[in-house]
Amino acid sequence: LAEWEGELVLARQTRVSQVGELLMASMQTSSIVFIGDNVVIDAYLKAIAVQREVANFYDDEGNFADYRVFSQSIPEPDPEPEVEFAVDNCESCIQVDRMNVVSMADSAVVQIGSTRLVSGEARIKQFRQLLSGEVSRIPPSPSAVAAARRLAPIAAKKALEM
Amino acid sequence: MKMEVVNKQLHIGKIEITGVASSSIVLVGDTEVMTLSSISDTPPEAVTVGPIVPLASIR
Repeated sequence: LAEWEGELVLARQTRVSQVGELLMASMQTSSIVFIGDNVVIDAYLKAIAVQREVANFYDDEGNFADYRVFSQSIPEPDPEPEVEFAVDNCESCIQVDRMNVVSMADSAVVQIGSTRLVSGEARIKQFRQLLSGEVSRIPPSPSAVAAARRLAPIAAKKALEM
Repeated sequence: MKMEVVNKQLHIGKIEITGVASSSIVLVGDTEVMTLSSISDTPPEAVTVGPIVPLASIR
């Protein structure tokens, strides 16, 4: 953020965004829904994801320092070339009648409005712990099937017809 | 380099999104600079079969 100091001014030439209806089903792990204008979004997440065949909650587990994924550097894009940028918005606005977002996770952002600088970083280390090589498929309950069909019809169709 | 943009009317009926994840953005608006990165590590050895062992903690 320090390098952006002095630049924290709203962008001058932005359009008005109009969204008639926004439906959000779920948000988790450092996600943001922002309605309005802002200058900087800096989203950062580090997570250790452990999936176990049997849910087992230990109170003190995991250490970010043990895994390189949390400290290794991520290559940055080359500095932008000098661009002389001119925009004519013709006094227009951005209109969206309806928006339906089923899920957001891991420092995801949904914004209705304008911004200037967006920076996002997610670092995730995954683990799977199984009791045996076989994973049993328990048929989902009818209410879970109905909820899945309602929230994500395409994904549910693919998953349930497998 | 010189770039000129003319924004005329933009009207979208419906946006349907199943998931936004791992430092992704959905923006209904204008921006100048975006830098988004995500690293996920799932090596084969991250899958263990056998008794469930807790991960090493800080202490």
